[in-house]
Amino acid sequence: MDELTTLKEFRADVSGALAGDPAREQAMSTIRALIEKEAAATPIRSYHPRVRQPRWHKLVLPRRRLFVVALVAAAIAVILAVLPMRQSSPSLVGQALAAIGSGSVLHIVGEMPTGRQLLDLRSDQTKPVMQREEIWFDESRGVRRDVTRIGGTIIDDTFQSKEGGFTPHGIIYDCTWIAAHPTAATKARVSCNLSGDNGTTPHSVPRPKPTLDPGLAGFADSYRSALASGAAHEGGSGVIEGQAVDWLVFDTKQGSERVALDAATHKPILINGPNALKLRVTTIEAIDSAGGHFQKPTPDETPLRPSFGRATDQQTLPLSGAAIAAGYRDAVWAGSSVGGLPLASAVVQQLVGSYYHRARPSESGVGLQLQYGSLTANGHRDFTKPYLTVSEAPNPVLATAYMWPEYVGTDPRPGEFYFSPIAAGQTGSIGLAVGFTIINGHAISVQASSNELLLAAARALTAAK
Amino acid sequence: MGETDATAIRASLADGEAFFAVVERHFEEISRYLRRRVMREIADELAADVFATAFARRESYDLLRDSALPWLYGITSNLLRNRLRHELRELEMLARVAVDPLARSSDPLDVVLRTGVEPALARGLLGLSPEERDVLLLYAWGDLAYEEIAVALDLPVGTVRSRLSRARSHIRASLTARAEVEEASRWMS
Repeated sequence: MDELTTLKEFRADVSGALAGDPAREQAMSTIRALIEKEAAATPIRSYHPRVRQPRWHKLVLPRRRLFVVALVAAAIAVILAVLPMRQSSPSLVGQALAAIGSGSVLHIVGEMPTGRQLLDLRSDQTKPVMQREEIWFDESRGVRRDVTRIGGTIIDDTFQSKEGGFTPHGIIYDCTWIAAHPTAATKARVSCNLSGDNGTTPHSVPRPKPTLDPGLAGFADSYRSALASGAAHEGGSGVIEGQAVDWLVFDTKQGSERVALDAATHKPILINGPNALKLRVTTIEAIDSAGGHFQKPTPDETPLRPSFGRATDQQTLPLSGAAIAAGYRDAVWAGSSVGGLPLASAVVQQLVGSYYHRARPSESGVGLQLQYGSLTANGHRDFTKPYLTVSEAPNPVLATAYMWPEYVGTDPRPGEFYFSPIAAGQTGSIGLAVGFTIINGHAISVQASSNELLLAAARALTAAK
Repeated sequence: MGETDATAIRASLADGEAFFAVVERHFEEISRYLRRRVMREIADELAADVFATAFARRESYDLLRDSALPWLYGITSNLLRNRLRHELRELEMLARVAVDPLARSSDPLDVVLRTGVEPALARGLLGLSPEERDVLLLYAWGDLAYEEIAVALDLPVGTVRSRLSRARSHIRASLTARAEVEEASRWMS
């Protein structure tokens, strides 16, 4: 039996019989409701249900977050891996370790681009939106805290200890908790047994100490192996943004990882991952045990956003600035045409934003949608041709639900346009350029078929008159 | 000849309920795939999210493709990345199945015998990059062809082939007896 055949059989039994499955019926019912809502609201021009917030743990920008965690973990791994060398090695690695300090708490702060951009509409300068990752790790006490921020807003926070893992949404279910609370676990529909049977008798199962994420263990192992075998080596000198650096190079299974050390202080300042992603290390230090921030996250620290949004067309407006201004208070438009695309429709809409599990009551308000370019016979955007949509909502919360489902972080300040450009080579649904700004308190979202159209519209946004 | 996904999606642009044919046709397969990758509760949530997202994005569906399954698997893969930690936690748990601390043996060979193949596979999957794991599991569990995986993940077919080859080699290695003994020794130490 080859590995593929074995793998095909692996976990084949866990899906179980699906006919009449309540979960399936519930999911089908949800989808049916979505379809019926759209059918009832004729015509709905666009609809963007937000992927609801995970109940246990919110991970935003997951792919990039994985790599940032991976890179930070790599830094941890580097340090932990070479600790035995601390006394004996006068090498660059030894100097780097000496520069970090000797406390028991490892504190790392790093930044990396999110892939999103911020355009200053006054200066026309663009800069990357950065994601900030902060980690406190105390191996001796078995605690770890990870906080991710964008623009000062916490978007993810996890605390791990011998009592378990915690996010702002509560405890992370694990096998120790499930074993100790079998009845509650069954009610919550979680189990560590493939059969799903937790029994009813509580029992004790030791919880492993927090360590690197399991998926990142490979990184750590690779580093340890690399150092033990001498595969980590000095990679010469260079300059980064005017700063002289010495390079350490680690060969991992994923590729070559390069760590830049400040030539003067020997502290790591940049980690170049094998996936061309770069983590800029702003702080790395070993501090005493009193300095760690090892508290549990609290529910109020991450903003609650609506999970579902709906827009129902209410009134079609004539295609002139004056008519749009008369039909929608504080209306903003990008002119009668953008990049050669004429304004094709202007519609006042009723917006509704709903929260997952009805965490808060639904919110509603009046919005405006402007379509530039060609429309299909049904009034939808014609995705086979260049298109541009400007959507407006009375506040960022409603816009988040309806127009800007993937928006996270701090709201852009006046005069700033936060956007997610189409990456080179992307096509189809993921090749949608989207931007967001706030003008006179109104949330303005722009969607376009190209980055050029998106930015042309952003620069042209002005009060309709 | 019955209605294809493409015709159902085209019809759904005017009549949303036409999309229901796509849901009926593929929900079970997507759900089964998800349940193999993450815990059941997470899988059930994600299954609904996959089809809600597909419904929201149906305007951008390439109507020249009759089957929407690769497209749905692509959405599934994207949403699964939001739950990467859950998947890794699940795999880590499976990797530990045979080393229950309450029943730990001092004999490494005993551990190897009780470990079996599933923990080794779980450890093998844990050792893959998320991208390699997506390709391998779409191939092994989703039964997608190279070209369909390329559509699902928006990758060149050559990249799919190379990732699949690397992933299979890694899994093969994880199933060897030597790897088992090494792993068992590590667990016992």
